[in-house]
Amino acid sequence: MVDRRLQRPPSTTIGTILFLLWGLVIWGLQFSASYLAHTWLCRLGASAAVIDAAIAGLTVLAVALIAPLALQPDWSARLAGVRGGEADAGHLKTVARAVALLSILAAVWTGLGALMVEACVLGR
Amino acid sequence: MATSADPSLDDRETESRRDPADYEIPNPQPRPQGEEEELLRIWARPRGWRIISAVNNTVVGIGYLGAAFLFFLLAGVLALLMRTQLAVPGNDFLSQELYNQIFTVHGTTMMFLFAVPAVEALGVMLLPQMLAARDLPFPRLSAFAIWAYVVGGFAFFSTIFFDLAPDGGWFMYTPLTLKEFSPGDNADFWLLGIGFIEISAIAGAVEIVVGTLKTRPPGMSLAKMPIFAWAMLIFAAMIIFAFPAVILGTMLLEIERSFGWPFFTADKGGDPLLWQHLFWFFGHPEVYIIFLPAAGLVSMIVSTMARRPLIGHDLIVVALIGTGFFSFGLWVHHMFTTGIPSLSLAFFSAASMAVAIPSGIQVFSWIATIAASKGKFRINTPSLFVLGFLFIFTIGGLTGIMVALVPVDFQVHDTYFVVAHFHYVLIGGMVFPLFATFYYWTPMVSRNPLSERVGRWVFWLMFAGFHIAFFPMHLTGLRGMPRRVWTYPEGVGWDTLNMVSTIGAYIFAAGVLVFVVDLIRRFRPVITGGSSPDNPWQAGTLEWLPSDVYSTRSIPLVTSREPLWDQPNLSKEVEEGRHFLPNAPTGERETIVTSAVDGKPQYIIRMPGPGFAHVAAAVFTAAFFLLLTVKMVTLAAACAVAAVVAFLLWSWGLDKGPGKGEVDIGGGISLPTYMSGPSSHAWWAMVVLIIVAASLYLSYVFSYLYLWVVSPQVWPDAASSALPDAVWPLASAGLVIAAAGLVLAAGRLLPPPGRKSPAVAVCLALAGVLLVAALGLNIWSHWQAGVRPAQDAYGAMVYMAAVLDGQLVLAVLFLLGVAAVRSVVGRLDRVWRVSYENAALLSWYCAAQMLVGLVLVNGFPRVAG
Repeated sequence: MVDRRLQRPPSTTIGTILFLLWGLVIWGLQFSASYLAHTWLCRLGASAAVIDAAIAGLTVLAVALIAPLALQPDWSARLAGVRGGEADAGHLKTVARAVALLSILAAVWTGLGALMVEACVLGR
Repeated sequence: MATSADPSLDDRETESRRDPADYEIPNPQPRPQGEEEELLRIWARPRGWRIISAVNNTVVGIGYLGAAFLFFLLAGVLALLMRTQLAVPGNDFLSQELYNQIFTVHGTTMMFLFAVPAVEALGVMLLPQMLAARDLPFPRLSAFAIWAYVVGGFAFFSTIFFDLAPDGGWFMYTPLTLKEFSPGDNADFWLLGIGFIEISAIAGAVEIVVGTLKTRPPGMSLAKMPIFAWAMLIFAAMIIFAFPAVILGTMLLEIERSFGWPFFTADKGGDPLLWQHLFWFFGHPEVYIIFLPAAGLVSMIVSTMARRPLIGHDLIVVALIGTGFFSFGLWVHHMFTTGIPSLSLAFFSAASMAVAIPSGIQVFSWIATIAASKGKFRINTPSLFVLGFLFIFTIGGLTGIMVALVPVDFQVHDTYFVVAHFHYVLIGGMVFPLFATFYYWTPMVSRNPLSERVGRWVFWLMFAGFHIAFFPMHLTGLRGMPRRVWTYPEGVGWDTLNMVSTIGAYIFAAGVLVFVVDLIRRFRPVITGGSSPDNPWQAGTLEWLPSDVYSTRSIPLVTSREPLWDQPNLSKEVEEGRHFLPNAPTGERETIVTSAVDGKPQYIIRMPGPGFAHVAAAVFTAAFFLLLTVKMVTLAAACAVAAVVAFLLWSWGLDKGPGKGEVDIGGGISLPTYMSGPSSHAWWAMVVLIIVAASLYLSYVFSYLYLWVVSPQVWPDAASSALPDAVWPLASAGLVIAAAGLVLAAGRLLPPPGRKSPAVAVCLALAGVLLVAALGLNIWSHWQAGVRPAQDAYGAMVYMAAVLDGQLVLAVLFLLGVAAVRSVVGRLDRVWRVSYENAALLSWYCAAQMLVGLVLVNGFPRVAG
């Protein structure tokens, strides 16, 4: 019979999932907030400059929230409770970091629309 | 809160923390006599007509896949009818009305009755084998899903023979599908028929999430999980978030058609575009729901045929996750021409282009893996279909980038260019991988593989026929031919192109026919007896371990991603029972539950065997909805009662209690046979279901706010008499909070093992009464304020909140009732508590949803007005 009260604590499930998906979750929130903000502010009659500033702000915020994971995956992994063997944790960090980099690209790409297209103008 | 059968162990200590390398595997002793015979007896499949009661994943999976493929053939016949009609201009082979029904049923069948069920069936069939689990964690749930799907699906498809088929396109846009323009029952058959698919898909998603995260073999951490399991996990997560939007949409449309609540009627404050938002929020992820499992299958086949691990395995995981997320940001690209503001379109155009990056990562990874095999990549029928997929899907992806550009889409929207694009990505991206799967994995489930020689004919006929049929449609579309037209005039430049497309369609169909003939000649499922060839492709993953009706003789300790390549003796050791769980220590159907991230053993799950309750539940549920569609209300009510009885019988058999306590599973490990709390698979399933309910409610909140933006004039302001006095929603909120408190109290009152507690039953029953009272008070408060659901969109949305709360309250009453009765008869206590926990979780979510609704419906107009 094995004494299961031994050393290494398990990885936290929620923490690991959040760690892996962090970048895209933030992108999703930035995307949704940009779409909703544009709709709402247009309805309120806000100027194009205000709307562009809001979208730019959301983009900067998104990048700022994602960047720590992309730059410091080890620290982020510890914060999220990702443990496990070195090889396993290494793979999870690779995935999380690549997701974060992809998400930064996506967030910037989403925000760029505000630079190129005028707010509140009907599409067709 | 105690979580295992041994109250002295808390949640963290029930999990083995040992490093897998320290397990005493392989077990050195020879196994006792009679062990395998007992496994065969416990896992035996029912014989004769009783096979309908089977719950083994191999039986359910084959039936599921067979039904899905049959729908593919049926919808394919409809496609041939369409192509025959369009072969020449001015044709009258089909009438216009029949043509409309045929293209609607073709699209609906392909998307809802073939594509999603097929990949779900592959998950049911392959995942337990790849994860060396003896079955999925909820076998009767998968069986219920298939029966609901089969009954509902065939009932839906049969409408084409009775002039009752829906005719508004597979996407059923309003206002065309409202009662005014679609007065018959045709649209109702679509709406209610799709309901089965929705139930079936969500049941499957619950199964797959819990199965991939909780029933992997010891040592198979997330990082070592097969790529197909990753694909299915993300597929299931996407279903959880995408399907609720179309569920809400179908509810709203059916309610408007039946009762006149004006969600989609513009002159009463509704908006037809709301349907498009709800449908496409589901509809776009739907195509990636279809594609991702196929991509996962391709990854497995490429690796085997290249005889090496995938290059960029981690990046493929990134690509799967990225595709899953990005796909939720694309839906408006189906609505570029609806007049939505340019900047809003730009967000979706950007996301539509961005989604090509993860797809591209996968394509380059496959190409790199093939190239890195240095000439050892085997060319056979499965790999031909994979190469065909690569070629076709890439072309489809390129035209996808084109239509992602808003100005391009303005030109090609609703033309045959789009038809060409989506057939390239769907047939290329799903059908070709499916055929590759048939040829690759048939040896796992059949005594005979399919014919390699005939397979090459199948491939080349399908490949050539596909391009001949669909490539010209790019040109037809660019020349202006609209979609969904039953004929066209002569001499506008479409004649030859259409004829060529029709010839191509018949060539493609010939390829499929040859496949069907070979299938009939060769396919002999091992579930009817005999055994399959041992790992004919020399693959590295666990589904190729020797298996029988009980799956593998023992559950392997996994130390890498390709265990059969890295542990050469693994097959022999597993077959000799020298790994985990070589026996059935509880005498029931068992598999091991492991931790979600690290794959460490936690407990033994005891699974149900064959039964009829879930079959009856599926059939009577399907009958209820179908009879309502044809307005046979009394008979529908009787079926509803029968369904509820069946669900009660089914659920009563769940939660068997702690049983034998801890059992030895080999490798020097003993595990509990019962688990409650957050480590329990039942807890996980309920959490997934709650996420589905929350997604449904979020879709409602979006719809509410959307209609307010569109039609603020029908919304009351703070001073309006249409808003109930604040005391009523506050009272309702008080009742909800009290109900939640009673459920919590019931948990505190659970007696020690072996005792009964009427107080628990009283608390649970009272909680149910308070929830009903809260709901009733809420409805009454609006009614007495003069608000009516058919008056305008505001009224409709107010009462729709009550509908959503009401259906949840019904489910909660069911679970609370079962838990209350169990507490009275002594089947619920401080340790034996899963049925209480599940009821409590759903009750608390219900309370939260009702509170959010009260704030939204009563608070928002006061603030926004």
